[in-house]
Amino acid sequence: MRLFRFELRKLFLRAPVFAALAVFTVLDLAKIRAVADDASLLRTDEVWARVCREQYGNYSGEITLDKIDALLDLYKPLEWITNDITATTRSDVEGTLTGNYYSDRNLLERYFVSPMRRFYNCRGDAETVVRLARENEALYTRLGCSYEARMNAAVARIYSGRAVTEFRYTEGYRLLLTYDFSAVLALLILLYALCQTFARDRECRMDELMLATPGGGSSSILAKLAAATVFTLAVPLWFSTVDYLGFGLVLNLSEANGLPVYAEGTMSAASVGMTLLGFYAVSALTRALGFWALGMVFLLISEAGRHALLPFAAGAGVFLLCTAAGVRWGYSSEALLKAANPYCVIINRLLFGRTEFINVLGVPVLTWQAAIVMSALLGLTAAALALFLGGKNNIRKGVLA
Amino acid sequence: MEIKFENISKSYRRRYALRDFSATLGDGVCGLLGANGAGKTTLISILVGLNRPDSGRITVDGADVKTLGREFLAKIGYLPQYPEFYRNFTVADFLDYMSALKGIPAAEGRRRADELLKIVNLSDAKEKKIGALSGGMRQRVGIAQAMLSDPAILILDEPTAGLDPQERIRFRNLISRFSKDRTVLLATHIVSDVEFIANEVVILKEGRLICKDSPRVLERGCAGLVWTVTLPEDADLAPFDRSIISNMQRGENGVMLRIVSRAKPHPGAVPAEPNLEDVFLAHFGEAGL
Ligand SMILES: Nc1ncnc2c1ncn2[C@@H]1O[C@H](COP(=O)(O)OP(=O)(O)OP(=O)(O)O)[C@@H](O)[C@H]1O
Ligand SMILES: [Mg+2]
Repeated sequence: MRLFRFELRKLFLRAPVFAALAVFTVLDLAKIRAVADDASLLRTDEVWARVCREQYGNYSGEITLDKIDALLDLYKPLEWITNDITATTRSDVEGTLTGNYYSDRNLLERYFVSPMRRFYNCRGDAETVVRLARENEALYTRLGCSYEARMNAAVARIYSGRAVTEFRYTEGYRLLLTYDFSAVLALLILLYALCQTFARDRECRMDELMLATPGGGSSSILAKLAAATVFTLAVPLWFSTVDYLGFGLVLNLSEANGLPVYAEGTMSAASVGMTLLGFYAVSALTRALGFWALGMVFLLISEAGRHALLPFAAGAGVFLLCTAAGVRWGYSSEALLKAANPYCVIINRLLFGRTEFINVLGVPVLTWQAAIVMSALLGLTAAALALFLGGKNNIRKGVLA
Repeated sequence: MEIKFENISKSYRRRYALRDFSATLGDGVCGLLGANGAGKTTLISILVGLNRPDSGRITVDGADVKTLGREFLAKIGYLPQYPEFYRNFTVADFLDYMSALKGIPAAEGRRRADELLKIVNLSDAKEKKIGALSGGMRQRVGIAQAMLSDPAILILDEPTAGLDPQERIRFRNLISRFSKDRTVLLATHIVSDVEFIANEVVILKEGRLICKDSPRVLERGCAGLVWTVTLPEDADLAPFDRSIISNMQRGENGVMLRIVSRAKPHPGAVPAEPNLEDVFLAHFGEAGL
């Protein structure tokens, strides 16, 4: 425990690490602002922002037929007069929301009509999926294809009972869930800090002094692994928190916290059904796990080099490979190649956002579940290798002696 | 405590760094003398387990260190050659860390550290960063670190490197004090470090043990090899090319030379009392005698 505290101090509780963390946090917040300004008209157009606020007052909350009717009464006429471009283009028209018919139509369509339609259709779509899955299940059972039958049963189970009953503003969540910049920042910090794990001791020749003490061998490596674990989990979780607070600050997130995750358009085929806030937490934890697994690999690499530069380059190389593989297969349906790649565990909407299965001895396993297990295995393997290959004193009996 | 080296050999790329080294060390200070590259560090790193010998074994009180393992490491205090330690640690934190590595409970470790810092005259530097210490101060932190666990065996690799003369003397007295009921193995190429405090001196040359005895016995072994002669200021020194001049001192009546040589180097030379430095030179000077 004391060794663990010292390793933590030696490696991570250092001024350069904190400085990097501070700078990157500021950078992250700036980027969030830029992303929000770029994507959301509510950030850049004051009139839209005001009108949206007013209209959300009318529609947000439980979805009722009255609300839908009222919205369509407002929207349909606008659609007619703008479709044939007969409406005036003047921007000070009495009785409009924003002063212009086209603008009104776009605003309503983007922030109200299409989300409302998506929310409303969700139940029916899910029911269709469940019905088809049940039919498939029956068919495959008859044909004796037990894996396919099980897979369809799983789909039916996942999609049954899906419905969005409330209308909420979800744009903030869409941006939050597709935001990856902070992952790059977290990665850079981890690379920088982890590559020094062993190199630092070597550079000041402490490795020799340590090895000549009873606690300098495997106990120290274990302490390093534990300290690195805390660090590799803490940094991504920190950035996930900053991301949430950052987007929460520039856009409204809390409004949609309680909606089911599939209410957000990019997650409509999600294989999980928790709330958006719950999903964000799960996603952040999964991301942290992915970073931990990568971190353990970095640590293993860092045992090799006397100076920190080589492990840094090698670590960056490993990550680039993962990224290349992630970009190549992350959006395909090669479920196994996705699940096995730490990149996809970090950018995990690629896994959670689709209902895909991997055949494990005839049992359909969701890709995200498989990915979590594989990441954990990868991390543990790397950690075990680091422990076994790590500096040993020749007069020690056995590895763990 | 008796440390026994049995036929230790170690070579790097077919060159021997240590060759068939056998010796037994008892309590007290053992000076390990040798020129640069003689194999002192190699021997020590094998003893503390940082290096694997090609052949041979080491026993402590009859037990192979390999079977003692961690138990043996708990008994030793080790100061490596050229230590740097962590520059951003304070002295107190560093000693705290070392006591954690040595498995000494925190409170006891701190108490020991305070005691030792007083002994090595560093109480004032306790909260200083190691990076801000002078080389000699860092060396003293190194000694304190090695003594933390009150080890039965103290192993110091060139501990006086970088110390000023005053510190050197203080240090010598310190070792002398620490050597009570302890085996101290002190590697150095500076003869005066061990001349008066070593119970025994082992001289290593090109990885081989040349001789091992108490300094006085070694000195007696060189009787008849040391001469002094006083020559006029402008004397030709060419005749002494084949012998080793261990000292040259200019005085009022010319140059006083101290020479290590088998034969009488000059008609006017008179025999002198050998000291340990002469012994060292006799073995290492030029090609040795
Ligand atoms: N890692 C190594 N690789 C190759 N040769 C080595 C290595 N370590 C030591 N040697 C060689 O072994 C011989 C003994 O070196 P060693 O460091 O033991 O000498 P030393 O007596 O400690 O010298 P010094 O007084 O300079 O510290 C030298 O010739 C050295 O070049
Ligand atoms: Mg040496």
